[in-house]
Amino acid sequence: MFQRIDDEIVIGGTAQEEAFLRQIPWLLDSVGIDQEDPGYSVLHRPLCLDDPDVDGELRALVSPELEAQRRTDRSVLDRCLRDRSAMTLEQAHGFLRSLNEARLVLAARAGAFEDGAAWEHRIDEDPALAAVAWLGYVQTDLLRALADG
Amino acid sequence: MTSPDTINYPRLEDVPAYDRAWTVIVWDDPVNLMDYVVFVFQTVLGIDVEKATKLMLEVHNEGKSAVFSGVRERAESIAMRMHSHGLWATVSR
Repeated sequence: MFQRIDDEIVIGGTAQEEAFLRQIPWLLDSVGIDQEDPGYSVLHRPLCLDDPDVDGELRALVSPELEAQRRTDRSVLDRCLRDRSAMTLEQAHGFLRSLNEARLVLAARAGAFEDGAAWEHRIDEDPALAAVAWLGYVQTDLLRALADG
Repeated sequence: MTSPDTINYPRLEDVPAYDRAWTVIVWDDPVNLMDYVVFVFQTVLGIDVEKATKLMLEVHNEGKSAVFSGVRERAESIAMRMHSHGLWATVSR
């Protein structure tokens, strides 16, 4: 799906694959609308387990930067898919992070974190987990393309 | 001259909290791909693929791995970058 040419990554794939990937920004924008959303919890895990005060302090410190980074990554993915433009390596890293974020959110909502490694046995019965597995394939292909340099 | 076996190293509990190094721990989860975790370790920690793979396997097999120890600011920055890549990292000292 991805090919590295010099210092750029070219996006291939079918129209169906592209249409699926273009739903990622919408998926990630939905995180946290529902206060009980497991997708929100997985993207906002504790930063310090020993001391709630330090955890709160760290969350307040890093959250703005973290959220800004995620928004930037999302817009990179959206723009690169829409324009079918080649990605710089930096953009490809952002694309990769958004793919991973989407996997985590879908997996959390489908209860994969509670299941442990057994979630992979439920792929055939849960379309969300099938999507997690497919996004893993896409992610692996992008990692391969990045390593081709 | 003091021989090495007579050095009395302080016990961790005797070291004042403000003097202890901050550690970044990365925790295992069932969703992040092994290859992706190796990539993140290389990118965030600036280490080679062999060392990154060793740390990833430690996370996978032991449930967690201490990937950094040092000053607080650096530990916070590393933990934040791990989170921005979707890995669960915590700091402690």
